[in-house]
Amino acid sequence: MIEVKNLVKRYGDLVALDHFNLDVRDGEIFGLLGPNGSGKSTAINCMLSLLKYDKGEISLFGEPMSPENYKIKKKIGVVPQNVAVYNELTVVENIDYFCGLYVKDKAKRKALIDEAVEFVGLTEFRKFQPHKLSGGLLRRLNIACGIAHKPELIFMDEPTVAVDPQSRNSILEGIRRLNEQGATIVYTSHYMEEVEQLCTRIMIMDRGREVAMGTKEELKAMIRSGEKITIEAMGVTSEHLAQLRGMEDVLDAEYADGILTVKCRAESRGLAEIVSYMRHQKLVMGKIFSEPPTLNDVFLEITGKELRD
Amino acid sequence: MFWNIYKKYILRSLRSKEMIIWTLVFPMLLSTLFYFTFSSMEEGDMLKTIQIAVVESPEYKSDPYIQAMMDALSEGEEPFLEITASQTQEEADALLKEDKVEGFFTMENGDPVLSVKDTGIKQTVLKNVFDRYIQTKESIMDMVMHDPGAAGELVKLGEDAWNEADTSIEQISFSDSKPSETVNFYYALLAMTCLYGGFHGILIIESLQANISPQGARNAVSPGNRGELFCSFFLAALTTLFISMTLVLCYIQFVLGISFGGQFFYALLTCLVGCMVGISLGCLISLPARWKGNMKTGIIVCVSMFCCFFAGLMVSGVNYVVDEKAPLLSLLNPAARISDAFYCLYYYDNYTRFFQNIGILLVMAAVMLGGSLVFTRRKQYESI
Repeated sequence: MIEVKNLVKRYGDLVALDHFNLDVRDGEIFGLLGPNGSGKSTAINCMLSLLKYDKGEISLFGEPMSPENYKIKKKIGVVPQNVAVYNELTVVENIDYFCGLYVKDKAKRKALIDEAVEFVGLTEFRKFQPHKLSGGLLRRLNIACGIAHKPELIFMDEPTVAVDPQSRNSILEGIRRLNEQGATIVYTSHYMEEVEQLCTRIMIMDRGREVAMGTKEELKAMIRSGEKITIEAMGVTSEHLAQLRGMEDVLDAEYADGILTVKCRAESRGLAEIVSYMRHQKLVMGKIFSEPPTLNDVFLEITGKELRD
Repeated sequence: MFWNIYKKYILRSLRSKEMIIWTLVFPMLLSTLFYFTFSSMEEGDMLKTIQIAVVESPEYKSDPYIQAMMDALSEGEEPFLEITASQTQEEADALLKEDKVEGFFTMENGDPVLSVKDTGIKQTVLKNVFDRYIQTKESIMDMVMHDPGAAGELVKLGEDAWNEADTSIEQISFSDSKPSETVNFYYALLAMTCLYGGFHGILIIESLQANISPQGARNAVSPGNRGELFCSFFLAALTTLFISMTLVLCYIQFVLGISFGGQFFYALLTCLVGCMVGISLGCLISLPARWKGNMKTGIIVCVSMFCCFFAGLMVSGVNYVVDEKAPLLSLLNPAARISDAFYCLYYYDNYTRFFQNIGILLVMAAVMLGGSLVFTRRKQYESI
C-alpha cells in the first residue's frame, strides 16, 4: 500500500528524516510512534506530497506519489494534527465541503455525510458551528471531514491530542471500525498506550530514523526488560537492594517512599523469586503489582530516553 | 465541485462578522456621517437673505448714501437684505433678542454701527458690508476734501470699489452636473470598500496554501485542481463583495441622494472592477506565509487607507494635487482610479476617461491575480 525508500528531508542543517524507510501493508493499522520532533508528521507530509524532500522514493498504491496524482489522492483521507475545519460552517456543511472535493455526485455525497456524522457520533450536533463544540467533539468533526468520502488509505496525525479520555476512547473505537470496514490506516501518536491498543504493526521513530519496527510483541521481545514489579514494603535497606540486584533475573531495583520497584529480565520468574526473598528477609509487604513491559520501556532501552521527553 | 466550493465560500463570508462589518456596515455608517457633515457645510455655503433691522433715527433719514445702499441691497426677488424698520434702538434690540433679525444698525456720527447677538457666517457678512461702506465713504470724503475737482472720477472709483466686492470667478461646467467637492468623499469611500475586499484575498489564500493554514493543507491534499479551487474561491468572493458594494452604492445613491450622474449601471460596473482589484490585491498581500493573519489584515487596512488618502478620502483636493505633482502615483493608485471613474460618471458627458480608468483597473487586477495564481499553484512546500 505504501512504500517509502531512503527518504531524506532536511530543514536547513536539521535532518528531519534520515534515510527513512517504510512499508505499510494493505488492511493494517500502522503506528508511527515517537516523541515530538521525531519526524512523524514530516514523514506523513512527504508521503502526501505536501513537503518537498531531498532524496528518496515514495509510492502509494503501487504508483509514485506526486502532487498531480489525483487518482491516488482520491483514495486518500487525511486527519491532520491541527483541527482543519471552517468556523463559519456547521458540522454538516464542513463535512459536505471536504467530502465535495472528492465526491461530485450530490445524492451520493448526502448519504456519505449522514454516515460520517453517525459514525463519529455527531448526529445531535449536525447544525452546530465548530466554536460551539467541545474539544473532543471538534476532533471527531476533524475525523469526519477526513473520512466521509470512504478513503482506502487514511493518514491520522495525532488525532487525539488534547482530547478527554471519553472522547479518546470513542475516537479509537471509530478508528478500529474504519479498519474493519477495509481502510488501511497510518496512525501517528506520541501516546504509546493508544498505539499499543490500536496498531497491528508499529514503527518507533527518533530523530527522523526508524528505531525499531514490528508488532508490539515483537518490539517488546527486542529488549531485555520483562515485567516491572512494584511492592509496598517497609524497612528495605541498601543492603537488601544490593542483594536484589545481584539476583539472576533482576535487572535493576530501587526503593523510595516505601515503594520497591524491581525490573526483571524478559521471560523470567522474577515475581516468585522476589516475593520469596522478601519473606525470607521478614520484610513487611503491602500491595504487589506486576506490569508487563510497555513500548516506553522499549523506547527507553533503545534510545536511553523516555518517549515523552 | 465548483458549485459546492462556491456556495460554501459564500456561506462563510455571509456568516463572518468581520467581513460584514468592514465591507457593508462600516462604509454605510461612514457615508451617513459624511452625509450629515457635508449637508450642514453646504447649507452654510448657500447664503440666504439676511434679516436686518434699521433704527430709523433722524440721522439715518438724513443720510442719502446709507439709504441708497440699503435700498440697493434689499431689491430683487432674492434680495441680499430684508430690512425691518424700527423707530427706536430698544425696538430693534427686542427684534434681535427674539431672533427675528440677525442684527441691527444705528447711525452714530455719520457711520452705521452694527449690533449682533451671535457669531456666524451671516453676522460676518453683515460686518463686512458695513466695514466696506465706511471705508469707501471715508476714502471718497477724504479725496473730495483735498481735490474737489475729481469728484466725478471719485464717484466712479467708489462704484468700482463697491463692484469689486461682488467680483467672483465663474465656474464653467463641462456637463449638466455642478462641480462638487463633496461627492469625491463618497466616491473615495466606495473605493475604500472595494479595497477592503482584500480581506477576501486573505480567506482565499488561507484556503489554498498548506503552509498557511490546516484548512489549506486539507484542500491541498484533496484531488481538487488548484486552478479550479482558486477560481471557485475568487468568483465566490467577487459575488459576495459585489453584493455588499451594490448595497452600499444603493444606500449612497437612493437613501443619501448622492448622484452618480444618473449612470447607475456604469457605477455598478466600476464597483465590480473595483472588487476584482481589491480581492486580487488581498491575495497578493496574503501570499507570504511568514506574515500571520492579523498582520495581513493590518497591511490591507494600511494599504487601503494610504491609497484612499491620496484619492481624497480624508482631505479634499489631495487627489488633484497628486494628479498634478505625481501623475504616476495617481495612475497606479487603485483607489484614485476607482473614485475618478465614479467622478467621470458624475461630471463628464462622455465615457472616454471613465473607460480609461476601468481599463487601468482591469490591468491591475489581471497582474495581481496572475501573480497570485502563479504562487498558489506551487504544489509542494519546503516546510509546513
